[in-house]
Amino acid sequence: MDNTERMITVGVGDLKITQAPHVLKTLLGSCIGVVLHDPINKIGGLLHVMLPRKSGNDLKITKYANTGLPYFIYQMVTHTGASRGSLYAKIFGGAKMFETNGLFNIGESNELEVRQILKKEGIRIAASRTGGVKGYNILFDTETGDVTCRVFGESVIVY
Amino acid sequence: MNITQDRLKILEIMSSLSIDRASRALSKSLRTGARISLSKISIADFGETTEKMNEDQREMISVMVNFKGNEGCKLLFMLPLEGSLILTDLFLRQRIGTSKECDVFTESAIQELGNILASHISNALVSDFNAQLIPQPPQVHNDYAGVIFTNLVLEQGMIDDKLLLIETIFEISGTELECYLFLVPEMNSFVKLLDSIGVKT
Amino acid sequence: MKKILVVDDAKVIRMIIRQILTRNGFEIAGEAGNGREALEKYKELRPDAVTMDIVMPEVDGIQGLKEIIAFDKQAKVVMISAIDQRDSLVESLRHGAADYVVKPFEDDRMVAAIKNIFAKKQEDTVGSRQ
Repeated sequence: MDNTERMITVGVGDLKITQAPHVLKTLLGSCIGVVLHDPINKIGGLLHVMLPRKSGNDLKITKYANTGLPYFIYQMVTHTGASRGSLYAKIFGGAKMFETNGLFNIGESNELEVRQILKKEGIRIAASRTGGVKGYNILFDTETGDVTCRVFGESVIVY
Repeated sequence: MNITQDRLKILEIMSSLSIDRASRALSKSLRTGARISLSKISIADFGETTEKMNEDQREMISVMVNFKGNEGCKLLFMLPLEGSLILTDLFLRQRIGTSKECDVFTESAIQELGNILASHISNALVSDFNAQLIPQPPQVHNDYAGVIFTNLVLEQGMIDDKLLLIETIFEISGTELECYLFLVPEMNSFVKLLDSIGVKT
Repeated sequence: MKKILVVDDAKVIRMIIRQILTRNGFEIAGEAGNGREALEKYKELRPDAVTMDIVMPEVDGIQGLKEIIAFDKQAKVVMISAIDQRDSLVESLRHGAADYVVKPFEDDRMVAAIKNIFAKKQEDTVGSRQ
């Protein structure tokens, strides 16, 4: 399997779960990227949270922290065989993007909601990099659990 | 999000005509052949479209314009940072290669090109279809392509899993510039406009 | 030498207009980036004419035009905008704009617009003496 075959891109408001040797990648602005990793079974997922709470009825549940995160955990444990006890999270993104939408700092609200839900679910946040005003480029290696993160205009840091 | 194929077809014609107008204005601004043509108008899936754009991790300079009036719309013009130097030189009537790095002039040139594109698109919609919309001051931003695109469609994504998206092919003669130009019309207001001009299919 | 105040939110456009006008025998009194700054600079610099963009942040060019004309009924303001729409044109003329040039413009068209103002001004003066 070459490098491009290993890579899986995640869209905004989407969830993808996979296992080693795959690498999940996405770009984040005001959205929060939540990765969950089971280091024993080498299963990992990436949820791209767009908004804190679901409002409409017909919309995709993975867009929202309050519906997407519980669904993500459920999928990890029941459908992919990840062990709930070994799961940990890493979170990225939540930047304050430029104001074209008249939306007041969604990034911060997204982060708060994600942190609260993870706490309630008893999942530890092993690493995080959030805030700022620029986009995040992240690569999540399901083999190691490492997240390679590059904030626009800065150098690469591995979390 | 529902729209009939017939209405989509009319929107395609409206988009083509307005993009033609913008294309001519751009050629005049740059004093070289600039050809923008419609490549696709579609009801796109929000997740799939942003996924595709998230594949593009290049560092871009972008200009986004909101339109105000009876018809709502957003425009995004973006290109790789190095490409913006060529556009700046063309715009300032300098020899290509004069601009060496992105600075306030590059940003300002891209801002003005966004303004010209948006204004001429709205001019065509107003004169040809009785639309009422006027561009707001353009906003310039540097970031990853996917992040910029997401910011364009975020508001739409909050109310729907689909979005009406107009994609174009953008060519500037004598260069190999790769530019993106997207339009995101607010669908309900455009459907009302079609009603008002008698397109009730 | 006639002094012109150049108003546009885009730095490059201010630079282009500055180059064209100075090449054609005008002096640049100053620059402004929106309608509010335009009025402040107008009061401070008392230019002979103003070039005024329309779509600008904070205070747009139509409002800038209104305020300058309210301050000085004789002010000569040429609108220079990519907006080529009847409403915008009519509103500008109604509020006292001397001319309206659509972007992108040919250098000659812009220079002619400024020259015409002063040609008209002279005619007016001649007329009032008679």
